[in-house]
Amino acid sequence: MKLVIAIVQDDLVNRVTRSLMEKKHGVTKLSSTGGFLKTGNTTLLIGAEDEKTDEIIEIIRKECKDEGNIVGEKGASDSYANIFVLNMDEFKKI
Amino acid sequence: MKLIIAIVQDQDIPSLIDDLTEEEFRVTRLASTGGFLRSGNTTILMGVPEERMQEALKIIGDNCQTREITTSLLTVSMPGDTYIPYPLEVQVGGAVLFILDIEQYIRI
Repeated sequence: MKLVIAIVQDDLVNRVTRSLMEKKHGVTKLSSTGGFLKTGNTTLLIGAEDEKTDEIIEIIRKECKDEGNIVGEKGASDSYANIFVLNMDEFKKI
Repeated sequence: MKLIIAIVQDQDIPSLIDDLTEEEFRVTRLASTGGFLRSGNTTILMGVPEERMQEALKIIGDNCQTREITTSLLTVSMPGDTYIPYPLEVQVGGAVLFILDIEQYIRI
């Protein structure tokens, strides 16, 4: 199991969460603030089986760069999304 | 690469964030609430390459040390009386750090 932490620009979050939901990936949204430019962004927590991790990253990549035309303008910070993938010891759904 | 999840007192945040961004550390802040005293605090996420871990920990330590400050407790004994500032030693600061391994880091 992996925990995918994705810090995404605010104007891309709805697109990303919608397409993640379509693929049956549960997403938890935390509102967060960028440290450097103090701009608002959103942190997504996504639990994923090991083999699904690449699919999730591709979904986020696709939503950020929607077929060439840049969706959300890069705005002040120079990245659309920062993704951390961590190994998860146990995952429980109660 | 390591992920530092630091839970820091609100009053330490401004100086901490400035020091960290000065040293080119990228930080994400989440508003959070302490479970024990239910006081507001701030959780910060930082992706830090292994070789810069000591530097990051030093900056966090410098800004968030548990320390004693003297505040005054204004006591009014009787109406019409003046406020008598009563010095009080209060402990503030302190940070909790969770350090995890990052398997993959992708920037889009």
